[in-house]
Amino acid sequence: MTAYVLRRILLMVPTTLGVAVVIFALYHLAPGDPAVVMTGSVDSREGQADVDARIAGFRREHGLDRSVLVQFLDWVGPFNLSRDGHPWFTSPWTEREVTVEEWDGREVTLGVPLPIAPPPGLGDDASGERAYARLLTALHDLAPVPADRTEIERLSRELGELAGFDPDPGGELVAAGRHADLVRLWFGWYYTHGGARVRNSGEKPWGGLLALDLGREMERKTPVAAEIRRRLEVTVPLSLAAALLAYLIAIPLGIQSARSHGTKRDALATLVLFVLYSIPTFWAGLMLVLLFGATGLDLLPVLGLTAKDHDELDAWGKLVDVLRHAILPVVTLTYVQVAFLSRQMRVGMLEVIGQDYIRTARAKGLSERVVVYKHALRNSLIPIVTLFASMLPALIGGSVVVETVFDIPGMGKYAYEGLLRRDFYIVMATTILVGVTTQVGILLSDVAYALVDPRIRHD
Amino acid sequence: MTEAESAYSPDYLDLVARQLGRRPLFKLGAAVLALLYAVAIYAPFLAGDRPFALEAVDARAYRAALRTLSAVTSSMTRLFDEPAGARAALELERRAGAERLVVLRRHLSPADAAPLDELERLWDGALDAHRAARAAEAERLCDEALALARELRTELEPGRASLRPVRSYPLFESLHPVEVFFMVLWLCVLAWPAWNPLVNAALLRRDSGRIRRWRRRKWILCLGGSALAGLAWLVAVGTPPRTFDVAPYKAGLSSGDIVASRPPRLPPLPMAYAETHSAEGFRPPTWTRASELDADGRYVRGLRRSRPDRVTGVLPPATPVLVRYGEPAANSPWRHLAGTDQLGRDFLVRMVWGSRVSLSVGILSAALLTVFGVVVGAASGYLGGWVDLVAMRLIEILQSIPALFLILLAMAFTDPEVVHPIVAIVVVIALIRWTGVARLVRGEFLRLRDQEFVMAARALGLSPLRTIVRHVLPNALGPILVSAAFAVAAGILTESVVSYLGFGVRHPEASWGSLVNDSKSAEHWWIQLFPGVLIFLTVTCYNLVGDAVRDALDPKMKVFA
Repeated sequence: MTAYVLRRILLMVPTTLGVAVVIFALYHLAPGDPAVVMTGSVDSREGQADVDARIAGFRREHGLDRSVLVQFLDWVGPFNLSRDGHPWFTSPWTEREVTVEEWDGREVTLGVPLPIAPPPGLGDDASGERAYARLLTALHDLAPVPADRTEIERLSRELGELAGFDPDPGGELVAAGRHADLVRLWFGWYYTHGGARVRNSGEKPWGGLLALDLGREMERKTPVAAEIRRRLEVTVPLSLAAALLAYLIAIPLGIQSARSHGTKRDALATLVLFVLYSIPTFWAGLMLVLLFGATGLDLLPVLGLTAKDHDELDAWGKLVDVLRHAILPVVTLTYVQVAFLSRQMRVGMLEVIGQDYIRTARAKGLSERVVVYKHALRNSLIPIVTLFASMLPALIGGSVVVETVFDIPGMGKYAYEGLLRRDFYIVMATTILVGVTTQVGILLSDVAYALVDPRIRHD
Repeated sequence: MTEAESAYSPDYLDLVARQLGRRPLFKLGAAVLALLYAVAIYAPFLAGDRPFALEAVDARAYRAALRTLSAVTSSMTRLFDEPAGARAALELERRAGAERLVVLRRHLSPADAAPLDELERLWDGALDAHRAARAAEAERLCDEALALARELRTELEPGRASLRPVRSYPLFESLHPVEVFFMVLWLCVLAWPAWNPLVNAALLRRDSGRIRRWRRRKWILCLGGSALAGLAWLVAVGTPPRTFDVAPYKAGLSSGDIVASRPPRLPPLPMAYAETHSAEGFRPPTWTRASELDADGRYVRGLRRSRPDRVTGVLPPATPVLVRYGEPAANSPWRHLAGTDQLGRDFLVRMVWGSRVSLSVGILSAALLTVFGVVVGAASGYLGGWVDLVAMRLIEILQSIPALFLILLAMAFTDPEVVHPIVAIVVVIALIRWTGVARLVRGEFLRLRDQEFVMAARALGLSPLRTIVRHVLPNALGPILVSAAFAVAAGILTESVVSYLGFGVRHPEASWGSLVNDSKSAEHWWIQLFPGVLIFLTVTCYNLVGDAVRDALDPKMKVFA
């Protein structure tokens, strides 16, 4: 069994890589240039040259002008193929070289300063970030002409206090008058600590998916992994609650339905569940929002996961607030699963009730209650319980729709935002995560099946 | 029971049909689906702004043609002086003149139209003279033609000459031959309960064996007849020009430019799917109280009621509702049964036309993915070996990502300028959803591969392709068809979700899903309610039908229960 599980886990690696290949292929093979799609619609006031420049800049910034294979290997890792970053980042000055064609055909190379964005996480308050940005910009402006040495020393000192980094611990550089090197060190530090590098992995030798580095968002440059972790804290409880609720409703429903097999009640229950199963999730969510939001039925909040005054509530109030907000999304996530599970439960129960040992149990005079709940239920639960593992990824997948409808800042919403912004890193990361979850789910269900059903052996 | 009937043993299809006939839910589902498809197919007759038949004087077109006769002639004269390339331009002018004459002649009695023949004679004479390099004669004839054209301009003015109304059939002229094909085909399908027993009784004399032999022939006849009708339409009417889908008839009839001798009839919903009513943006369904407007176009009740400004006491500006010819009155409950969207387009009309997109995306994607799945599954199940290995790995990879994720992803990175979104979504759904069918077909093929009849086929020396297509595939067809029925439902659902999330069908086209996306505000409840009901109805019916067919196809079914 252990060997089997290990083998399956090892098999997950190539499958996940396959998933990455599929997404990457879709991304590049989809008709239309990714850069064109991602830079968005063309403003009619903009000249074609401006549009071309914008697209070319985007391509350079996100490394889309490298070969597809390099892009893929770089994303997968574990080696950081563009250790020195993209060519236009190799300048030690935060400048990017742009070649411009003059009117007489001469080509002139200009240095265009890059905007210096503060790395995330530095200084909790806005003033700290602003000071950082101001100091770095000032340093940048001084750097090409290291005339004012005292000014460089002063800026370096202030920056060191703010960032907690000393590029010149012994004061040797200043003593030797190598102020340009001091500035260079500062920018080297800036690159490695949150500067906007291509692939955003700086000069680290490792990177990519295999090094558990999911990259940074294209626009905000914040790490995708941290954002996903934060979003999962919302989505996982919602999904688990929905799954639990689905079981709590579906199992008794399925049992009742199977026990009253052939009657009008069973037919009605089956039909209702069937109809329920056909309701599109997004529409069910919208209808709930309409029902509770638009008709003046102010019983439940419809949007978001917290009220506006959430922060002012006490612990108990916060809990109640979140729970009240979670009711409608959980219902929306649950009803499909209830319909699905109770059908499975009914079928499984009917199959078990037709078995010989049930007839034996009845023949030896056991009460119907004991027969159903002791003999039949346990055996018909086996396939249902193992469905749990394969249900979880379906719930996380379905959260795209539910979280969009109810405006909940969870994983699904994040994936949707990534798609809307055409942000490659968000899309890749969320899809890979869902893919891995699915595989783990399938593995868990196989293992659970083997555990509860002694007839199955994985050798 | 006659002897012939008792000797007839029901075959598999008879049993399936009998089993299906016992299920009221199947019948209900199939009937609703037939109706929904009828709405989609006959959409031009249900909703549109083209009259069925029009007998009218188009005074505007007549006046325009008359006014430009002299312009055509004088530009011909000018072209005579141009040395090079004038020949083609002259021909063009001549054709433009002919087109104007057609408009004029249609409206005039033969006696009134006589001077037009004279004009045409002068034109041709001038062109001939020009071709023969007799410049002076050409010049003279042209001057005569110009004088005549100027004279006609006053002589044939609508007030002086009596204009005959012209008959035309705008609605039918706008039909595409493919539409005609589907309309005839669907007529056959819808009328099947009526004509099938008749044919069986009259032509086939209730002979069960004969009826069985004629099953396929009936289908071929229906398809062939519809195809013939489409072809005939192509020959007789041609393909309509692809123009923006708002016809000028309603505007002309309202303004008095088109004077009809008999008021023409419009379809029951007399609006085009792209026809905007600028004063009626987001108007609620007109049978609700909140939709009532006063003469100035201000809402009288409900949330959007116009209130005078608190300081100045002035009412906000409003535009009165423009009621075009044939439309229900501004406050009639029938005006917009399902409300309007932001541009004041009638929502019911858009749903009717959107059903074409939604339903055809479902069918096409299911067909395409079934073909993919059958090809891959058959190759992998029958050939085995490394083909099987590669296919199974690919399926495993594709199945470990929720399909909706992948479809959204592919749609997000597809440039709608390069590939039309409707085409893109069909292909994307098929490319991602084929795995289920492939696994199913593979399983069936693994089961059938080693059975005696397949071995016999192989032993006879048939090629693998022939063995698969002729011998194995027909035996695996039942489950494939059932999964295709469910795939249609899933396709419709997927298209609606993708369009709702904004990655699918775009304006001016509409599908049910993209219609839900027209407004996110809970205030516009009709936009979120009605298209969803249609999606739900369709998906439920497909699931009902698929479920019933699956149960009926089950060979273990109780035959005589």
